Amino acid sequence: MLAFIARRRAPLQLLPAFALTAGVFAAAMLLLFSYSAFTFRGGQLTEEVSFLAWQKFFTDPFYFGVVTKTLQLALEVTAAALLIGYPTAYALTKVRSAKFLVAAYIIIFSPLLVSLVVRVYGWLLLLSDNGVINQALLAIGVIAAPIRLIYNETGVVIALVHILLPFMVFPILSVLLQFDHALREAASDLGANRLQTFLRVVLPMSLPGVVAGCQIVFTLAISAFVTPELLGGGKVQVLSRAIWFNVVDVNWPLAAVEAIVLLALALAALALFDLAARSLRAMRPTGSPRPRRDSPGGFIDAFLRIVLFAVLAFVLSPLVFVVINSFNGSAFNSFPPQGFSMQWYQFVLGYAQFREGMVNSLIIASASTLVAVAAGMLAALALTRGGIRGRGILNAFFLSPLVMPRVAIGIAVFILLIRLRVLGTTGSLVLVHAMLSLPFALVLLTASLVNVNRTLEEASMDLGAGPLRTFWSVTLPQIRAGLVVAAVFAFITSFDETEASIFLVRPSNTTLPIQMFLYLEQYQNPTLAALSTLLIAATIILVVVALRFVRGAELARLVARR
Amino acid sequence: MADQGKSLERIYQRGVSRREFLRRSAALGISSAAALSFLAACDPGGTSVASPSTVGGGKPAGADGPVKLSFFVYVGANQGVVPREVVAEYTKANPNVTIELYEGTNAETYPKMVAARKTTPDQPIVNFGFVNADANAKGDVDDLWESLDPANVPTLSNVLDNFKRKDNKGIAWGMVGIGLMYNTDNVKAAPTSWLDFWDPRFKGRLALSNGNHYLSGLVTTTRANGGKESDPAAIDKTIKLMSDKAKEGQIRLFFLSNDQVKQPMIRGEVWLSGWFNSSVDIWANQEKGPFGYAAPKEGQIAFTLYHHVVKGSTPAQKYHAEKIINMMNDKKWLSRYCNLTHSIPVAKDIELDKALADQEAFKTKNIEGAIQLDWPTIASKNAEWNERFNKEVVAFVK
Amino acid sequence: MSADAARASDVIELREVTRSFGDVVAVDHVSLGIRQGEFFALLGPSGCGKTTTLRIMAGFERPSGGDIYLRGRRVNDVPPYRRETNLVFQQLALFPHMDVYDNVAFGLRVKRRPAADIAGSVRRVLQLVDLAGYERRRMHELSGGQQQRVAIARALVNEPAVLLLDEPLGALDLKLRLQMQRELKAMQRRSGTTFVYVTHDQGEALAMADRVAVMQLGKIAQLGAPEHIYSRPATRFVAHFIGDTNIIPVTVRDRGADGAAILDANGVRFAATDADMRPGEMRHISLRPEKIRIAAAHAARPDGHGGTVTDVTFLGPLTRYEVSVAEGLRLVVQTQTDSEEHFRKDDRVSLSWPPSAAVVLKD
Ligand SMILES: Nc1ncnc2c1ncn2[C@@H]1O[C@H](COP(=O)(O)OP(=O)(O)O)[C@@H](O)[C@H]1O
Ligand SMILES: [Mg+2]
Repeated sequence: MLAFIARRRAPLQLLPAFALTAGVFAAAMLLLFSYSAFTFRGGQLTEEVSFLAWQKFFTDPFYFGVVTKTLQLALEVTAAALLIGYPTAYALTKVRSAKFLVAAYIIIFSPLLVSLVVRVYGWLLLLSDNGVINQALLAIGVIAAPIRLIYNETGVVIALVHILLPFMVFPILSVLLQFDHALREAASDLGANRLQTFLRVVLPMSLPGVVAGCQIVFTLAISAFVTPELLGGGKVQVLSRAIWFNVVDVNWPLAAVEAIVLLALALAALALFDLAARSLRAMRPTGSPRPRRDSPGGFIDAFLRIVLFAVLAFVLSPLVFVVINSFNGSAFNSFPPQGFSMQWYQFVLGYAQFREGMVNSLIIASASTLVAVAAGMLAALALTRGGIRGRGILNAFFLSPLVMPRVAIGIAVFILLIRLRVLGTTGSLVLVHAMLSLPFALVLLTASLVNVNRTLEEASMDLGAGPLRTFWSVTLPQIRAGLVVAAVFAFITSFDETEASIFLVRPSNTTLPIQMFLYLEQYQNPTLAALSTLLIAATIILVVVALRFVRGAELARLVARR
Repeated sequence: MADQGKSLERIYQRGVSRREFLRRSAALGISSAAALSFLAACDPGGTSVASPSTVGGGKPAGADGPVKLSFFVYVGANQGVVPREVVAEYTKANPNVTIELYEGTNAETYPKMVAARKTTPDQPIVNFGFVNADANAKGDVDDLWESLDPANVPTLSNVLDNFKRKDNKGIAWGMVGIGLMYNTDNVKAAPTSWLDFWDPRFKGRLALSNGNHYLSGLVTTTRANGGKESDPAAIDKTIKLMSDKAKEGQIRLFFLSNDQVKQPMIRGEVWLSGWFNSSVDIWANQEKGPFGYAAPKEGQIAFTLYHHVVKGSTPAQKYHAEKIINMMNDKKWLSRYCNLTHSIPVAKDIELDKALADQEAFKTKNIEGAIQLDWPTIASKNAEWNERFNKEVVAFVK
Repeated sequence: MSADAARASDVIELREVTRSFGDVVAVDHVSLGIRQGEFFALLGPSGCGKTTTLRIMAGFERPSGGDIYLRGRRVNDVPPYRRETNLVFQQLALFPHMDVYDNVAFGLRVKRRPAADIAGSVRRVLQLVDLAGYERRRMHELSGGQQQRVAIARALVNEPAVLLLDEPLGALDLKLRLQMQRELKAMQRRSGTTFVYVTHDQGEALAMADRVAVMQLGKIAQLGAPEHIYSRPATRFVAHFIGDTNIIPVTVRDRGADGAAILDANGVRFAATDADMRPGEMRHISLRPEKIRIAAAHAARPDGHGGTVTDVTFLGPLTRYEVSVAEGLRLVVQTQTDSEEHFRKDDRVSLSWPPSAAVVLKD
């Protein structure tokens, strides 16, 4: 909406997002942080005030090593994801076939649809000493002995990039899709060759997306716990792992100190990204909407095509093994599979806990997506247009739930909810999930709104449409791609959430991933592979059916707006 | 197809004896159980609620009126069968009593039980039910357990002597053994001692559980070397040994959950670990995986399972809970429960199916000879050990 | 009638309107009235405040000072969507996600007009802008000129009290621009709508407008009919901006009996009719190149001033000479190529002009 209208309402627009982040996240974290001044001694936490935890953390070189390792790993993952993700996003803008495009989107998203443990299992099959890759390399004689790809940092980086890649690709893509190709034409009119066009025009304009992608990936990488633990063989000692151990051991003072340090590190990193974003904002795209395609062909296009196919193969490979394994005749996941069997599918369909979990998950994910996207949209409007002071700080505040390891959030929110006596209610779960999804929605919607053509909104108001009508019929269509991506991220965040929710559910509203988790604790057969395969299939069917019912023009706009 | 379905069903019937999910710190967030348990302790809501007590086994006031009870039972196939049968029989005889089954795991439910008691002391979320060794020790610290009245629970006298509880705080009914799990494809001569962890033939093939040191090798190595977990010098010595072995490359990886140790063991990346007999039973005997279980000559660790009544229950609730616990420990019901769930009973004269009774872990010598750990010490030292372990052992594994 | 009330004949009236952005005063105490049905041009170089003035009229900027009246009503606080104005944007701002029909119908739909009415209005306006049959085209399927016409149709269809146009032809090539100028003018006549047209192209303003306001640094330098502004520019800036001219610094020597003043430019003396000047005063005059007659030195008129041709530029139908008349006084002269005589560089010539040609400027 117009600046002068947004300005007056900006504080109001920030309210829902603020209430969510402050009321759920900040309140809970402060509660947890207050434990940093308590004392842990002899396996007991006492309310005796001391700074022993602070002292320990800042004097023991072991923890300094943990901090360094954490930063190093997050940087490696962010750099790798950007290196792979940018060309992938760029290549996707060149795809002509709408069908292929939809398929590519689904593939890149698919890691998020597969439960973490199952995904990790896929990687183990691929990367282990006698896994597919080592066997292939041995067979062609490249190596003499298996190289160690798992239970070390290599495996951790590979798996983290795999799962975080969509968080890099889609923000970049949504910005690339949004801006005006006429500008590129203009640049080539002026005699710039393709590389120059890319470096001088495309790259600077897509930087808001790059920054958004890096922010999300870095913060998720810095707080990741399960993937480093499982693929690192319990040896990659990062900060989130230290927090996890201390939470479990009731050494909450130390856990609180570590959580504070992690938050500080991440906020510093976010601020740096934000600084970068602001100094680059001058270069944001302007211009009239005259979309046209680039001329095809050329060496660069061929290169991009190869990159795209390589990335799709990389993303799919562990999942393929999950699907194959779901038909495994062996109950103990032997590989290659021993015989063909449908028994795991039968079991999945007959297991009441999965059915109930599915229903709970759908309800909670839908409701929390609605809340997160609505609150995120209002806040993004206020932040991009409200002329609010301290935007950097507000932004960092809203993003802070991303950087906190989920286990720390889980315990902190648990303390909060039990004190409020609302622990285990479905409403509280919805709010917690919305709080966790809000950062994604906010980052993506902000990146989209920055690139919105404001003149179009003025044109609409000039034609008599009030702010709401203008937002609905002119702004929204422009940010549709960003909005869809934001909603999908929010939904998946909730649908996949395990580490925090496990503290907060009751038997009656246990979600699907937690049911899967409880299941894995009891049985380790291919049932979860079958369930994951079903989830992937359901997603594909859902998308295909949805595409059938969406008007042709709408679809063309959604997937091929360029 | 039908056959597969059948075999699957059998697997899940057997699956019940896998009680690894009962233990504390199963994995991931669930294992934060113990941590959660604490928050109630730090909650200003209440610290000490006078526990209502009944003396002499008489029926307390109100026991004949309407009484509602919440009964915590383990989730999993067959786990609920006997509790349901017992509840049906009991409520038929006592129509004034209604009982709700609360199904879950100790790891996930225990902290909520503690928290509920501290915030709403008169409304425990469960009144009584199943508790494992770990939660049991924690509950002692948190003062969660009622003393059972022998007049209402005469089966207390039937418990094997070294499983008896002081002050009748709960009743031990069964156990899981913790012993040596090895890969049968690669290990031809079964390991025999807790010290085999450090045998050069397992170099680079050892997987250690982290986070719980009754599983990590710390306590077992100390015991096998003649030390005690309560002796800091003995623990220091073991950590030094483990640190040296870590540098030599003895250890391949650390794990937190069933799945994390099972997969590399199947693939042959690791050959040896310490784990629950119940898991190995299923993986070896039902799934026919390359797993072997050995009860070490020093003895397997007894991971005991209990029935408890939770403090905060009304005298009437406690009375009926005790009556039901007594039924659960009645020879007829306990034998049925153990056969259905492949549990090792720790009461005298419980009849078991032959296939079960012949198993290594079920042999009397391995039950009565099982190591009874110093659980209170472990509960208080675990955090400290974790820190040292991560610093001095894990950090040196490449 | 109180002094505060707006003039009834004016559709839009600006009174002492000021708009500043920080230190920049984009619009500086501007007062003007725009009459019903006229084609009004705001002319000025880039950055002089034209767009800002237009956006104040449209409601996108609030005046920092002064008042704006629309049909006699003060509208300082009325948002754009409640004003009877429509703006054709410099960048067109067509909705890329809608086709031609939906773009044009947008305003009417917002006003909840019945679908049948909308269809009729859209049809008529598309005929007016010569785009009948293009209803289902999307924006990227149209040429620049067609997009331009959609933008105009989208505004016109709302039958605004005033149509505001911000350099609408800026992006078009010369030929199309000239064609569109004619079409726009024709459209304005046919519809009878009041147009406020912003441009930096003086030719465009002179060709189309009934009245022109020339803006400089946020102020109105001169306001009037195109012929008037051309022939009687008020300031050096206006004289320079509108067409080609000679600006000559002069000293007033004398006042003739006929009321004309005798001026002196570096020793060159000549008369000027319109003058309210005192002897001894220093002023500037504007002397249009086409008003100067050029003749061979031997055919000099009595009032002729001798000089030397220093430069000749052939402009097709016109020829442009630069003639050095005196030390520091060099005049530009323009003649019809096919008439009169032709001269070459270094030819001796004689220049003359009627007293009425020398327009004395205010500054
Ligand atoms: N939103 C704004 N913020 C700051 N300065 C502005 C803004 N809009 C216009 N200006 C300044 O006001 C002056 C007049 O601008 P404008 O009205 O766009 O000129 P024109 O349309 O005549 O080229 C310029 O110096 C311009 O930089
Ligand atoms: Mg302008």
